Amino acid sequence: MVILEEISEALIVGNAKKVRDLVDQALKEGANPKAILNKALIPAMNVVGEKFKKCEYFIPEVLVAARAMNAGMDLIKPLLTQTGATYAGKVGIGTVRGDIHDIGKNLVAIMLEGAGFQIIDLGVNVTPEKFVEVAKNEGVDIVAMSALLTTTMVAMRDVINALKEAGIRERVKVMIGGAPVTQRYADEIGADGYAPDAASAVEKAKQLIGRN
Amino acid sequence: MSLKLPEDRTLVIPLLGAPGVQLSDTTLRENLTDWEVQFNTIRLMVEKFQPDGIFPFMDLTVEAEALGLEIYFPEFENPSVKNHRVKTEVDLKAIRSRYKGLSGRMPVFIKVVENIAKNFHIIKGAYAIGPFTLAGELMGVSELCMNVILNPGLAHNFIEFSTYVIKDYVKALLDAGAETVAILEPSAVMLSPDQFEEFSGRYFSYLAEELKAPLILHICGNSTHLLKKMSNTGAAGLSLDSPVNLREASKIVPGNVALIGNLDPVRIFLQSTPEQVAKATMDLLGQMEGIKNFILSSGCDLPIGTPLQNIEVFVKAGRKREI
Repeated sequence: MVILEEISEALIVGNAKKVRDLVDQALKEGANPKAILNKALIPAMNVVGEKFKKCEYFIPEVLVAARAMNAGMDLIKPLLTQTGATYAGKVGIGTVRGDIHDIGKNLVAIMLEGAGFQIIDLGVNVTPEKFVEVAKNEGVDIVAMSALLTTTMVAMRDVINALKEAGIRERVKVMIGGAPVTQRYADEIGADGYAPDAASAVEKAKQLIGRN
Repeated sequence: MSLKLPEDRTLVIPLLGAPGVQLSDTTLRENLTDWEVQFNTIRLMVEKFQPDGIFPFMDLTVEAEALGLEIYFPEFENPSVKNHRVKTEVDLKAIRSRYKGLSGRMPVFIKVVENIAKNFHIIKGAYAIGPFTLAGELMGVSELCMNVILNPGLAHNFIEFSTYVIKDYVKALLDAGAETVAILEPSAVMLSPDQFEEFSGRYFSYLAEELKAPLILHICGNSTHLLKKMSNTGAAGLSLDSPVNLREASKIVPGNVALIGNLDPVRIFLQSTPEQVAKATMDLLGQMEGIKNFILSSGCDLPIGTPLQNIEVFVKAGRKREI
């Protein structure tokens, strides 16, 4: 469908109004909401992720594209729930204690949501207790943590320990990311997965769920 | 204006501050709110570590607080701006009309610098926040980043006002005796080179020209993509974080701009043994061999729990070597 391509193009350049209008039009013309998501919004956001990796896009462009993605998602989400679409998995996500930098976390949440995950966004400065609570009571499949600062990154280990103490470490997968975080650090603290950027975070989340 | 560096040796200037509370048995909050407490902590650090230069504690909320923003201020951790409610031209106008010049805790830091200048014969520095970062504290950094594209006029108005506030503060710090002021611009790391030039670099250049003082530009994280533009701002020095390869950076940054950095504050200073710190320091010195504009430092502010022995070892290892 030509209109799906147009939606993709509008999303890639971050034109939220155009994305909303085109999604609205497509729905009125009888397009399947799932097809709009899978054939327009997600592939477009993947292009944005690629451009970011290649340094063609920087954070401002990615944020503006994510905003356009949200504009489309706002129209599609209620329809997806109506049609009883099943989620790929449930993710509790937040920045760790002491860290209030949420741009990366928000991008990962948007990308995961786009990829069909149900997101429980815990916000910023999330305590280990809060992560444990959501893992326990909400039945999340993945606990996802983000830190921008090298000084706050250390709180990730506390969350993993708290999950162990609560006896639910085996029930959930733990994913971490953020500027100072590395695969080596993930291995060191016993996290199940690390992703260097939002697009890779989606692949990693799918992979982790598959192993469940 | 450039920094005067000795010909015969590499200066060693770790970004001290928070770890000093271990020497003075004080809390971080006490140091950030009381100039006498902070100056005493700094005095103890200068005596113990003998660095070639000293800066006050790093605090990215001083300017925002002076503008009336609400600050979250725990006893033992760094303070942060609570919320970002200044979103529109109308909001900005209200903040602008309330702003009465130096206020909040600015006098605490000015007084600290005054005492550093009076008492020490090493390089005397000071910190101030960068214009893009302060604008982000007002508006929210995501919004500011988006407005760089969606509403550049609004972004510029916020950054311009921030620059004006910073200028007053930096002038006061220089008048108090600071020989250089490091402008802390962490949020700019998210921008493309062109965006950086337009929304951060040119405001830095304005500050450097107006204040006629050697200013250092500090950006946290991996700023490799910005190095060329950062070099063109008129900065006397670039303080670079540990993800930047300094040797590679030295090929981009001209010789009259000091290259300051960049041992990892957490993995090396906080989490390594003294032997590992010594090795990492020697490795960095080896890597920077022959580069005259190099100042040995930490990539960023040292965390509060940094073992004091690691700082001692760093300064000692740094001193062993002569160019």
